[in-house]
Amino acid sequence: MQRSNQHPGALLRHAGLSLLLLAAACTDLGAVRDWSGASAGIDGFGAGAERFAGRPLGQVRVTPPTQHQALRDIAAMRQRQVGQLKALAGTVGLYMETMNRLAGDGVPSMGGEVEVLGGRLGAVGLPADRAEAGIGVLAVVSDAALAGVQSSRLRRMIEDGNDPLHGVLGGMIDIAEAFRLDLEIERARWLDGFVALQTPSSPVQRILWQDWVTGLEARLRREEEAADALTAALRIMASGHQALFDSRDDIDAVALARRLSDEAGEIGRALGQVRDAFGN
Amino acid sequence: MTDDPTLPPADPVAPADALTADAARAMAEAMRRAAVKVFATARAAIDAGDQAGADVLTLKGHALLTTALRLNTRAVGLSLEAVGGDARDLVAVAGEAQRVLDRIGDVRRAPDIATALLAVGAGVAARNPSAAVSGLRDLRDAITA
Repeated sequence: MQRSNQHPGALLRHAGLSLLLLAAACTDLGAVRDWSGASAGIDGFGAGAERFAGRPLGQVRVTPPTQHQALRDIAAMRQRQVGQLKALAGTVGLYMETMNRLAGDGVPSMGGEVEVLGGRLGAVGLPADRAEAGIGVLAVVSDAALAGVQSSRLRRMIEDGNDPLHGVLGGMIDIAEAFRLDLEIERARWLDGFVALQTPSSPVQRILWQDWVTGLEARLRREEEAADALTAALRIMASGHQALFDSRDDIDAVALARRLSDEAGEIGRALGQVRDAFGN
Repeated sequence: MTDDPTLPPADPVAPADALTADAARAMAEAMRRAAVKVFATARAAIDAGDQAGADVLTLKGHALLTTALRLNTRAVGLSLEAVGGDARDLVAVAGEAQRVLDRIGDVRRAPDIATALLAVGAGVAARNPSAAVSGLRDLRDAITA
């Protein structure tokens, strides 16, 4: 039989090539997928932007009339920023969703097309038995090759995206800190500039007053914690992507996968807290 | 007159080209802290029976907070301006990757990709690693073209 006459070196080369292709296709990108999937849930940033825009008007009730027009002007300025802030979050969301797809395991299989293609192997001058063997090999090789291209494109994306992503995330961190400061200003307006200057006249009024103040403090605290969580999530995303960039040639390294899996959980929890406090 | 405590203080916001987002936020924070101190003084005036003095101080404190809000708004605007170029670059990177993904997804209808796959298969079947590797290169080029 011809197969038994094959030179061992040729068989090894054949096996080695197939294994090389399979290795490219078998890169475990589960951690990258989890990490980018969690990071894509950044829509809470846009909800935070809506809150930011509405905050000046929410303070009108406890602000002297001489300040009302200024507060309305500031609210109008912020309303013009909302679209840009949402677009910024959308940019990061798009990038992360694309990375998630590239790291996905949904590589299309050539399936039945392989039979058709394999049938054409004879037409390129191969002996019939080799053409038949080629059909089986092609079934494996074609899917592996497509997966390999996808995985190599992921590396390229991480390489090209690292600098601009750091720039965008840096700006978003600054903006999240502005969201946080805004809540401190609101706290000063309500608690220092209004609540602390009132003197309820009866015991019943004092009880009702205290209940209302407790609710107000809880709302402010919840939003302040959400703003902190947003900043933390953005920082983790920046450092995580840097780790991906640094390890892009060994993207399924165990240490990196462990780190990304941990970070995916942290990002998911933090962004969930942001959505709970600010809405979607 | 800026000495009139019923009026907000003069807007200390510098022209945009002379201000950074960090500086604007730091100024806003300073205004907030100043307002909290003014409100505490107003409370002390109320406790001392000086309601008129407390009213003046309260107005001043609120004016400081309004200025803090304006500065914080400016800080966000400056951050947005600073990231515009990076955001455009990031969209371009994502768009390019999506184009490749779409092409991979559409692989069955792409004759050049099918041909490149055929070359890979032929190279492997013929035990010709260089032909297979060359086919792989063509495949990558066909997908990313």
